[in-house]
Parts: sequence; structure tokens; C-alpha cells
Amino acid sequence: MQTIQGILPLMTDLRFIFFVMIGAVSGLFVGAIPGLSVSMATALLVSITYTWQTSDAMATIMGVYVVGVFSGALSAILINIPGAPSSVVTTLDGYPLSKSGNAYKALVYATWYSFIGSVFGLVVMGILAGPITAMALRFHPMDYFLLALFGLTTVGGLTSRNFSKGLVSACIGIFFSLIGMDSVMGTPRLTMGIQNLKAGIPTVPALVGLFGFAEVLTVVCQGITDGKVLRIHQEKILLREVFREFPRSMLYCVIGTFVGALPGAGGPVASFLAYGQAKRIVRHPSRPFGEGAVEGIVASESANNACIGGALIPMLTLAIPGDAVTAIILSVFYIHGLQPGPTFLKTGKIHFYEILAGGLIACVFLLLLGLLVAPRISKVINVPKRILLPIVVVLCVIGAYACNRRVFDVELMFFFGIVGFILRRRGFPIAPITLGLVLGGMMDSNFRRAVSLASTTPNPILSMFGRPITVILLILTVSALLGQTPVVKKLLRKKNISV
Amino acid sequence: MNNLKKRQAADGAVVAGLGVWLLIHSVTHLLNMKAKASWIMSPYLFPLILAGAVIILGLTILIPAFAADDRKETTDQEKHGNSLRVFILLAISIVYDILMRFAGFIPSTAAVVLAMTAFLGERRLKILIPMAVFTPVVLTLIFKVGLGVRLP
Repeated sequence: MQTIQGILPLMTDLRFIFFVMIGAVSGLFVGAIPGLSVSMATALLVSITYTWQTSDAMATIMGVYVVGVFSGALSAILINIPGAPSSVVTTLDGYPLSKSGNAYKALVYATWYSFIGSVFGLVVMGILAGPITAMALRFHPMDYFLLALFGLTTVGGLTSRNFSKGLVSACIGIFFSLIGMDSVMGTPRLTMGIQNLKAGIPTVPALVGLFGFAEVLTVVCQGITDGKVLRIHQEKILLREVFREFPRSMLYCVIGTFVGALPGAGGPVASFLAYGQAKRIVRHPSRPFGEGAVEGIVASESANNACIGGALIPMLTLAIPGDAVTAIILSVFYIHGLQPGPTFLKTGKIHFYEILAGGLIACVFLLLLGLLVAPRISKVINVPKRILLPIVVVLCVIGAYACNRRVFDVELMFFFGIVGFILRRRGFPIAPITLGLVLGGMMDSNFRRAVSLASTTPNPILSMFGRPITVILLILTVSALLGQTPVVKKLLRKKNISV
Repeated sequence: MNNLKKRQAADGAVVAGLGVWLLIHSVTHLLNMKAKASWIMSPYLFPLILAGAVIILGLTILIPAFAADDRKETTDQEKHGNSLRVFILLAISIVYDILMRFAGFIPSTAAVVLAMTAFLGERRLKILIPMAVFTPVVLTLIFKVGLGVRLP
């Protein structure tokens, strides 16, 4: 009730709605154009919104986030190239359906179920944030450290075929986060004598480099190919027919929200899991799965959009981001002087409402843009890359420079772009680097605080790991680590076969 | 040893090497600390632990490379790309960075957009010239004038 009272004034504030709309329209294009990504756009937005009021910044970012995740489905359906990683599964049925002349039908299903998924995730966020915060207030420094470690372990396992490579990426992110002046002792650390590094690695240029410039280099390296856009013939689609999938979509939304709340898992994993479930539970699909089944589009789109609310839960209540975009949003919080975490609902309640209201308004724009504008922008999706990429490079430069107004940050952005490009080529995922970069400082300070507190007690080990929450987190982290080792994987596989 | 294994071994060796470097760096600083008792609060305690983790991870990539199954599926790494194009793009970016320091945002962006668009395959002057002229001007109007963002 209190939450509803909190968000209502924002939902009727025209200025707030205007900024969400700006974000939503940008998100529609950014998400739909392959080569541009929501992470890239959010990273660029961090620097642009640096001088804005916090509410305007939150409104714009939520608009980009919600609509950007959805619009990845547009290019997935129309040119068989997912605009965002979470739309990969949508291509499986979306494109075959388009090829058979039903592109509009695919778009309508994708829009409605993206809307339902987003609203579901955000409502769950509104309901669960309070109880999780109450639990998080009892966390000690070691619990925070273990929680972040658990997040990095899961993201390492889920974002790469090679678990070790995923973890290496997370370690690289932590390493970069440790560079600069040590917050406890006040001495420079790992700066290698470079004066400009004493202030640490600024998050924005690093993220813009990793997601923006690295993407440009990857596209150039792979060779520039522009997809062929299918024509859209508007046909009459009954809403009753669309909503036939609603009960099943609730299951996909639950999967999406849960997976989204797991640090690092995100939309791609959620949509794959939901698609797998759909294949299991839908006995008589409209067409076979993989050949244009609307049930496949429903599963993928409801799950990946439900991830949004899920991913925001740990970010707001524990300061542990659920995916790359929330990691970037976390840096927006820091830039605006906000401190997400267990006390956030008390100290930054208005900003919590801004996120929730911004997300819900963005859902309405998602529906409007998806049904009215998306069928008409198919030409824009296919902007030639030779025109698009130089503009992206210039935008990366602006984004990197804007925050601190240092040309050094532009150089850092290029450096991180090269690092991101090389790592991607060698099979190291980028998302764990982002999480490591954002969480590394927090892990370091909490770990040292925990060790320091324990060192004054008679039994340091018991003091650090003796509490129930800590034991649970420790078991979760260790099982996440061991579960990915070849020996355990083999054992589990054998057990599955024998069952 | 096939190419895939070689790449995996190289990746593992580089990661383990980075871990060793971080380990040496951290240990050196820990040993040079004046008050030995305060190692718990040392800024190099966490990098030391991180170094250990990186070395282990490097070895878990390196060792299986020698025992890996020949039939292992093709990974993304095996997809070939055009490295020369990447180097040229990087060279243009470096020139952009240098030009920006001396010439400012608008002239350097105009020159770089022209060079990059042409390099990426656009040959029509009616596209190249307006792109080079309008991109920096429009971006300046949007960001500097409209949004109040400082440009290089």
C-alpha cells in the first residue's frame, strides 16, 4: 500500500513521464539495432545523465532498460539477428514465423508478453524488496563478501562454456577495481606509477569500452554483414487468441524473475530455461517448436523481460547487481551519491519508487511502441553498419569523456575496448568483468573488515563463519564452485543417466 | 596438439602468468610493510588472494589443454576474423585521440568519421561528406547545447 502511495505521484508527474519516454524511444532503437546494446546505451547514459537530477536520470535509464530488452526481439523476428543476447531464443520461432508471412503476429505476441513479463518482474520487485532488505540488515561484512563471491561464481558458470574462463573474467574485473587509492589505508595500490590511476579506474569509461568499443571491434573483425529485413503485413489478431497463452506465461515469468535475481544469470539464461519448459509443457503448439511456434516466442519474451525486476532486487537491496545493465545502473547510483543496500529502502525510498514507477511507465511505452511504432521501423533496424559504427565510436568517446572531463578516460575506454575484444575472441565472457569491476571494491573492504573484526576474537574462524546466514552463503558458494568441476559434473551426469 | 588445444594452453599460460605477476607484486609489498602486525589491513592482502585464485584458474585452463579430447566441439574462438581491419580501426582511433588533443572535437571527429566510414566500405561522396560534416555538428548540438555535456 505504501509502495503504491509512493509511486502514484511519480506516475502522474509529466516531467518524469517525459524522461521515461525519451529513454523508451531510445531503448526501442538501441535494442533493435544489432551492434548497439542496452548495456552500451546505459553505459553511455551514465555519463550523459551525470549532471541531471537523479529522478530524471532514473526515469531515462529505466525507459532504456525495459524497452531495450524488449526491442531486441524486433531484429530477432525481422532479420534473424537478435538485437540483444536475451532475444537469441526468440529468433528460433520468431524468424520462421516472419518468413511464413506472419511477422506482425510474431511482433504482437512478443510485445504483449514482454509487457506482461516486465510488469510481473517489477511487481515482484515491489513486493519482495522490503522482506529481502529486512533480512539483509542482519548481514555482516563476511556475508556481503560471500554473497558477492556467490554472484561472481554463478555468473562465471553461466556466461561461459568454460567455467574457469568465466571466473577468470570475474577476477580481471576485481583486479581492475582494486587499482587506485586504497580506501582503508589511503595508499596507492597497483597503479604501476601512473599518476592518473591513483583515483582508480572510473567505471563509466571501462564499461563504455567493454560494451561499446569492444562491440565495434568485434563487428569489424567478423566482417560487416547487414541482414535482410522481412516485410510486415498487418493482419487482424484477436486479443483473446493472444491471451490464450497467459496462464502458461506466468510460469515463464516466475522463471525469469528468479533467474534475474541470481547475480549474473540474466535474460539469455532465463529465456533458454523458459523455452525448455515450454517445449515440455506445451503438448500441441500452434506450429512445431523451432518452426514458428508462438508458444516459443511467449516463453522467451515473458522470461527475459521478467528478468528486469528480478535483476533489480539484489541490486537495490544488497548492492549486488543481477546482470550487466544493473551493474551499470549501480554505478549511476554511486555517481549520484546514492548508496543501494539494506538501508536503501529507508534512506533512498524515493529513488526506489522512481525505479519502480519508471519501470512501470516504461512498460506502458513498451506496449505502445511495440504495437504502434515497431512494425514501422523495420527499415531503421537495418542501418548499414558502415554508417552506424563510426557514430558509435564517437558516442563512446563522448561517453567516456563526459564524466570526468579527462582525455585520459578516453584512452582508458580504448584500452578496455581492446581488452574486451581480445577476451571475447578468446572465449572469456564480458559480463563477469563488469560485476567484478563493480563488486571488487566492496568485496575487498568487507573481507578485510571481517578478518580484522575476527582477529580480535578468541576464535576467529567461528567468528567469521559461525552464523547461520554465513554458513548458508558459504555452502551456496562452495556448491556453486564444486558443481562446475569436471568430477562433480561427471557424477551428476551419471546419476541422471541411471535415474 | 591441435590449434584449439594450443589456444587453450596459451590462454591458460597467460592467465597463470598474470597471476604470478600479481602474486610477486603483492608479496613484495606485504614484505616491505613496516608494521608487520597490520598485514590483515594491508591493501595487498586481497590482491594476494586474488593472485592465488588467478594462478589456480590459469592452471585449470592450461592443464586440460594437454589432455583435452581431440573431438572437442568448435568454439567461438575458432571462428576466424579479419585482424588487419581491427588494427586499422585501432590506428584510426589512436589518431582520433591524438587529433582531439590538438584540434578539438569537431575537426577531429569530422576527419575520423570520414576516414572510418570510408574504411568500412562506404565509397559514395554524397554519403561520406555529409556524414563527416553533420555527425560532429549534430552531436555537438545534441550533447553540448541540448544536454549540457562537456565535449573533448
